[in-house]
Amino acid sequence: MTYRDALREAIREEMLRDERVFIMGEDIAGYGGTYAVSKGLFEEFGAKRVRDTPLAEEVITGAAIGAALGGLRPILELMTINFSLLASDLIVNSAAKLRYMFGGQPAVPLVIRMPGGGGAQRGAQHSQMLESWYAHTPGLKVVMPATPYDVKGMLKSAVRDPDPVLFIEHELLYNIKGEVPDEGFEYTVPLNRGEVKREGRHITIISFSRMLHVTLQAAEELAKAGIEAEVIDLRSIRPIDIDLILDSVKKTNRIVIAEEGWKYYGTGQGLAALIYEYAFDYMDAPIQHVTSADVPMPYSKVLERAALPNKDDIIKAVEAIVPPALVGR
Amino acid sequence: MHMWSNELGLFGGNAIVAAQMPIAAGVALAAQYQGQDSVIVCFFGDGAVDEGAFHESLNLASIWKLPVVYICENNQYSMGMAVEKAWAVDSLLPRAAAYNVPGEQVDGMDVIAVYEAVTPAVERARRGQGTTLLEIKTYRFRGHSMTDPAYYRTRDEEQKWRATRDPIGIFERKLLELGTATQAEFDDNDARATQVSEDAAAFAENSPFPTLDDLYTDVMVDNSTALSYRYERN
Repeated sequence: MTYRDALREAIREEMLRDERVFIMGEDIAGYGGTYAVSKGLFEEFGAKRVRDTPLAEEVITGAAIGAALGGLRPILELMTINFSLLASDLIVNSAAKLRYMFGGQPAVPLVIRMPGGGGAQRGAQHSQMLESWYAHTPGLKVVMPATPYDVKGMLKSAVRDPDPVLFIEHELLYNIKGEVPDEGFEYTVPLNRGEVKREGRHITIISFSRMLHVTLQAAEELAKAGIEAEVIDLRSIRPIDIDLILDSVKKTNRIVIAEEGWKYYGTGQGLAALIYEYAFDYMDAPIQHVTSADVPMPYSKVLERAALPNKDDIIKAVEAIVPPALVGR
Repeated sequence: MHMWSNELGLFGGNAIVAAQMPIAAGVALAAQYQGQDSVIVCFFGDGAVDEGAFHESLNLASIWKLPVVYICENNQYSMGMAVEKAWAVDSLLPRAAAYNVPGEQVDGMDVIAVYEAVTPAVERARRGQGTTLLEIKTYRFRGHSMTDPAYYRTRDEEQKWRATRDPIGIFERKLLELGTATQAEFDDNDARATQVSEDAAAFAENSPFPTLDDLYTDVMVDNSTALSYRYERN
């Protein structure tokens, strides 16, 4: 099943399970969703529960917050994370803070779905990974599932979660395929746990979202050269499953962080700081950090490819800190 | 600013000007969706009208016929910026027309006029006919905050409003004229209001400060999933 279909199944199952669950967003009803995630849902559930909105990110985000405060379980689709900046005031200043500011009375059980990422020649204003901006903020959960299985299980968890969850997808993930249990088989994936997607003993590569797949390809190739890389999929970047990471650090003593976002002040650097803070004594080499180039995303195909991190970048980073002697070469 | 009551249906203040307007639309959507007959009343100042959220909210409330009444308390200054310098038009009526919702300008210093404008707006929302935009014209007697010396306007102007347009004074004179209340009743009311305020202040002064455990309380519903709670508390 594709990532897209897994998302749609999760939405549909949650809407069937709970009358309070509804979806709203730009072009999600008649158009079927910019990335066709909600295709068919309008026909099945009607205009009350599948709501097309004006192109106005600020009010639709605020309205989703208000609907959550009013007892509903909204799933808001923002067309891309780039446009969420127009709604960032409501996300950061209201959704993340109301419960704390008002003595624990309000709850904001809201899911905001939106894709980020580049690689499809969408240009600088449509290709960003902005998850770190939001993950900085206490009061939010920020998850970035990479596989069809995880995306379905985590969306179901997000809908049932009592707090605001930013559910960040990736444009280039919608068509990927993976095993998902048959429709109706009930399972969820927790919002606060990463997962070891491949076991290894020489090095740990930490990744999430689309870069997980690039990382798994790199690990496959490294294995041919005798380097056994452990691959961790963060799945959630807030909260971050630091225990899982520390266990792996203690085993491999070497870390590469591979992410599509920019290098400075983001998720990878925050993670590196946490690893140095809690596991410095276990580290045998400096952490290597694979990211996009520190530029706005270029439109040119050639330059975009150069700006995005790829498999070879990960392999190079691994080879920089895995000495041949360690793997018996 | 930090007042909220699930019991009373009070959805708090918001220190981001106009952020309450989209949220109010959403609370109204929840009422409409669940078939409740509640009406949401959303207050904001003339400064909020300058924010994009005002326009987006009026539009959404209009197209979805949301049961929300938007009430602008136009006290003529957004902090220190005079409304005539900030607004391209001199009233909210053209803005109401722009979003195809009924609008009305009301003398905010006349209690009965306000009552007579708000009541039909609430009834209209309750009947499922959607939002209304009311511009309640008023004046802020004091500065914007405790530390605002109000250099942007004259003492003369303030004095004139205080002397001639005080809404409580106007209302009292009207009731006296009509013979529906006596000066003794007003004095009694004033005394009670003063007492309530003094009791509240005393309650606040005598309440204990939060404990340090409260620092991490209520970041999330399930606080164990809050990052700081998991690491800083361990």
